[in-house]
This record gives sequence, structure tokens and C-alpha cells, in this order.
Amino acid sequence: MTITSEQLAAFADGELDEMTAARVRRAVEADPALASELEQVTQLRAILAARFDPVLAQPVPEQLSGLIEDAAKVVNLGDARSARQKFWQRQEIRFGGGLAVAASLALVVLVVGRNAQPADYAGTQFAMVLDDTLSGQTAPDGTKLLVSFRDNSGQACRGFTGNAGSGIACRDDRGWKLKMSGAAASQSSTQFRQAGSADAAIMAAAQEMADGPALDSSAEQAARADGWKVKPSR
Amino acid sequence: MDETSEVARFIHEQALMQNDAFLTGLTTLLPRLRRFAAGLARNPADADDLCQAAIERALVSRQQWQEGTRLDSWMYRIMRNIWIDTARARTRRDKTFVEEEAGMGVGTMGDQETQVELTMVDRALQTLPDEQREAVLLVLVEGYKYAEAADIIGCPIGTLTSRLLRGRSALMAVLGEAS
Repeated sequence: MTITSEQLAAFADGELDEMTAARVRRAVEADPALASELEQVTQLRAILAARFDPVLAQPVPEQLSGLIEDAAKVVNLGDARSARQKFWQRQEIRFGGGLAVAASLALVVLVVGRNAQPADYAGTQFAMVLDDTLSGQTAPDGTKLLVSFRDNSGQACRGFTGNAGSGIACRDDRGWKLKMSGAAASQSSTQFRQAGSADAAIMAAAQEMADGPALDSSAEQAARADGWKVKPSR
Repeated sequence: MDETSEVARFIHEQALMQNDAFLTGLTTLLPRLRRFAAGLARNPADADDLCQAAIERALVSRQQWQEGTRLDSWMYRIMRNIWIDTARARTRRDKTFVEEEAGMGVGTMGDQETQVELTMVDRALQTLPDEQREAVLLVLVEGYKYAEAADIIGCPIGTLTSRLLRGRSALMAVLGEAS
């Protein structure tokens, strides 16, 4: 009876059923060459552990733990606002389990204009950007419009990223209300964090909020011509 | 409090609790994620960038994680996918900068002998094709069962075991030669 390298490795990894394991064990006891091969296989695990396990004991950089702490704060902020804002009457909460919505409700005062609008509405300047700029275009202030869609109340919404921050704003009868805001477009150019992670975050959130596909360019232009009015989908 | 708001509050509390479980779970996983990243990436800075990208992606798509399922496999899968996504760019870049990187010792502790050996392990791992490297790391370093590792990678178990076997032989050959 011969034992294959694969069986021997599986034996070392604890992946064999009892009977096969017993068979391998007997074979190893009887065959010094096989025993030495097993020894090597086992040793490799130890060598790798010696290299990588010390990472477990290293302190986690704040850069990483901070991301999670920030995410926790975001939820609390959304929570604090809910009492004042009849948060639960918002339609988004009825789908998606509410989790993303709660998290995304950090209505950061992104563009508080010097105007009478409440803090979570776009200021005059920024409202013009949202009014005029088509998706795929970059406004003079550096804001890039990513996508337009309608939420399930039929409001027109726009996802954007820019140097000041990123987010999603939806048009109601008072103006562009910020529904979600996030980090500024990433300037990082390291290997794994090319600019675009903010874009991706906005696109993912838009997908969550959207009722139907994104507006294509003709639908978007029609919506713009129409002043981004609410358009009930059904 | 009317009925609607009570239901709403309940859902809300559930959401917060679920969120807590998610974020706590993520925090607990951080050291392990850093270890996995250390094996995948080629230097500590890249490793933490990879970790950061994985955490960011996880936070964005957290509603895709089903509570009650394993957060660790889900996170490993995210990190592994980001790593694979950048693999082509990395390969191109490394061809250009291979000499610079080859000069970079990773081991920073212990005596001279340990330091040399740590670097050797890294170099040996770098000789492996990506698919063998991830198989080796998931099973031999992270301690996943074959089925779990295959699930993280998204391949059949047979594929995983053959990659693992080839990766393991190659590593033993390289390390055996050096010793």
C-alpha cells in the first residue's frame, strides 16, 4: 500500500477520516522515508507560524482600528438625529434591514451655505452644481457627479464625490437634501487604495437606495430640464 | 408611543445591536487580518493598505454580511478578492521594481540568523504563483480546513488541495535548498 504526498499532507492537516488516518499512521511508523517526509511537512507549518504569528501580537495601527471606531460613531450620530427628524418615517428604512441607512445617516454638515436652508440641505452654490452637472462630469468646484437615480418615493437623487466630501443628495420641494455623506475622494495612490474607493462607496449606497436602475443620460437630461421634480414610479 | 414607532424602535435597536456585533467582530478580527495581509502583500506598508482597503469595503457592504454566518470567512474573502484584483498591476510593477524589493528585509527582531530566515520565508513565498500562495496561507498559516479555504477562494476543494500541495512542495524545495 502506498501513501501519496497528498494523503500525507492531508494527514498532517488533519483532513483525513479516522480510517485513512490510521492507515497513514501505520505506514509512517513502518517507513522511515515516509516519516521524514511527514516531518518536513509538519515543519513547514512551524516555519510559517514563526514568520507570521508574531503579527498577531503587534499592536493594530490606529489607521485601521480608527476606521471601525469611526463607523461606530456614524451610527450613533444617526441615532441621535432620529428623534428630531422622524427618521423612521423615511422610506429607505423599510428595506435593507435599516443597517446601512442607520450607518449612512451621518448627516455631516458638508456644505452649509450662508442661507436659510437647514444644515442637511445643500447650500446655494452646491445646489447649483447638483442642478446643472450631468453624471460623469466634474463641476468647476471639483465635484464629480457619479450617478443619478430615483429612490422609491420617486425623488431624484444624485451621487457625487469631491475634494470636500462625497455623498448622495435627493431633491425634495425644499432643495437638495443630503441623504448620505462620506469621505472626500481619496488622494491616496498606494497600491491598494487608488482613488475611487469613495466612488465605489457612493455607488454601492446609491444601489441600495435606488428604486430601479440609474438614470441614463437622456432620462437624466429630462429630469434636469424638469427641475428634478419628484416622479412617482408607479 | 404609537404602534408604528414602537416597531420602528425595535427594528432600530436590532440594527444597532447587529451593527455592534459586526463592528466588534471586525475589531476582534483585525490581528488575524493583518497576519493574512502580511502573507499576501510584499511589505508591511502594502499589508496595512490591503487591510485598510478590506475594512473599508467591508464597512460599505456590511449589509451583505448575514448575521449568524461567519464574519471571518467573509472578511478573508473580501481581502483576498482585493488582493487578486490588484494582482495584475502588482505583477507588472514588480517586474520593474524587483531589485529594490528584493533588498528589503522583513524580519526585524531576533538574532541575525532568525532575521535571515524570516526573509527567506518571504522570498520563498514570493516565488509561488498567487493561487498557491493564498492556498498555503489560508491552510497552513490561518488554519482553515480545506473546505473553508476553498469556500473563501471560491474554488472546488480538489483545486484547493492540488494548489496547496504544489505550493507546499515548492516551498519545501526552496527552503530545503537554502538550509
